[in-house]
Amino acid sequence: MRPLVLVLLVAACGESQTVVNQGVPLPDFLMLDCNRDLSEAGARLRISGHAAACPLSIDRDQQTVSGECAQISAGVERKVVLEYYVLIDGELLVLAQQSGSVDLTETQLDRQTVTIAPALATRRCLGSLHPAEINFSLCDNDGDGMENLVEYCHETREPLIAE
Amino acid sequence: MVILAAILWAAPAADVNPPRVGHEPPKAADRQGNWRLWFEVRDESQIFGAALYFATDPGAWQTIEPEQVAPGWLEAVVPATAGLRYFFEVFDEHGNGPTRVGSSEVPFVLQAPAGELSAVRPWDAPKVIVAEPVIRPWWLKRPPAKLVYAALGTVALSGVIYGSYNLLRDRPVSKVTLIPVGKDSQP
Repeated sequence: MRPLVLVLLVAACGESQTVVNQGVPLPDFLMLDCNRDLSEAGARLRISGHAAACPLSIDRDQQTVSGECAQISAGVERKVVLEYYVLIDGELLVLAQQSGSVDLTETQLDRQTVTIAPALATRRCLGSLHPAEINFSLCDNDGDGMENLVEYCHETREPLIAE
Repeated sequence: MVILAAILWAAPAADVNPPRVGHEPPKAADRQGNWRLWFEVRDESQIFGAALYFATDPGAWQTIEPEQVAPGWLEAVVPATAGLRYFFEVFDEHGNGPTRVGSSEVPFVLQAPAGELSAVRPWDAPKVIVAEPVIRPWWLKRPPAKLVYAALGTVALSGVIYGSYNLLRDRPVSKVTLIPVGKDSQP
């Protein structure tokens, strides 16, 4: 009995544990007050080497973004970007990005999780994923120096019109 | 007519050919100081009346009957003197002949003997020379069947094991489904 207690004690005093949740926690900005409707925002996953983005669903009750992206070619490391966006006048407006990566070089599982880092980018957004290349116009469609998210939620500014 | 044909058919074929004689004059005498004259005589029938006529110079012709020393071979032994003249004749039992080698007019004439006659006789069976067995290097020899079967078995077993391993081992997949998740750190 005593050794078991010792083991439990050692385990409890160890380093912080990494807990993998189902889905990606919803970023805080989607809960902020906004002059426009952020509930219309969508989420999608862009994966390096794949042209088409994979749509994800936002569950506001569970505060998560979740989904699955099938038919991803393995054999290399894949960079991914989780993008939050809205559509204005049929034009896609990227509000923010979160990035992550997964090594599929020797994967033997046909279902693989990819960890999305909590860091949120609203200005220095990635255009090309591999090689990684920042494209300022991606998160600032009109190129006026103010990112889409700020302009979208601003009372008077238009994110598609440079002012 | 039919009876005559039957008799002719039943009668043995008549030998009408004279004996054939081969002869090579000697150059050496034997140890006893004699010429040994050998005659190879071939005929389909028994030979008859073989005779060697020889004469020393000067002298009258003498006759001796050669002895058969081997099937088809006759030998006559005469003192080895230089200038010996001789010829040989023979018939077969049907009277075919005579076949002569040399003649009284043109006989063989022997010079003084040179050297000693070899012990080898022309009617002796040729000496069989046994060739040395060819020693093949080991890399050209066929390996033992047991070794070949063992090697083949080993290769086959290795192939089965390798194939089974490849069938059963976990291999990387070519397509995956990505599931994005967040990472939360808890103390």
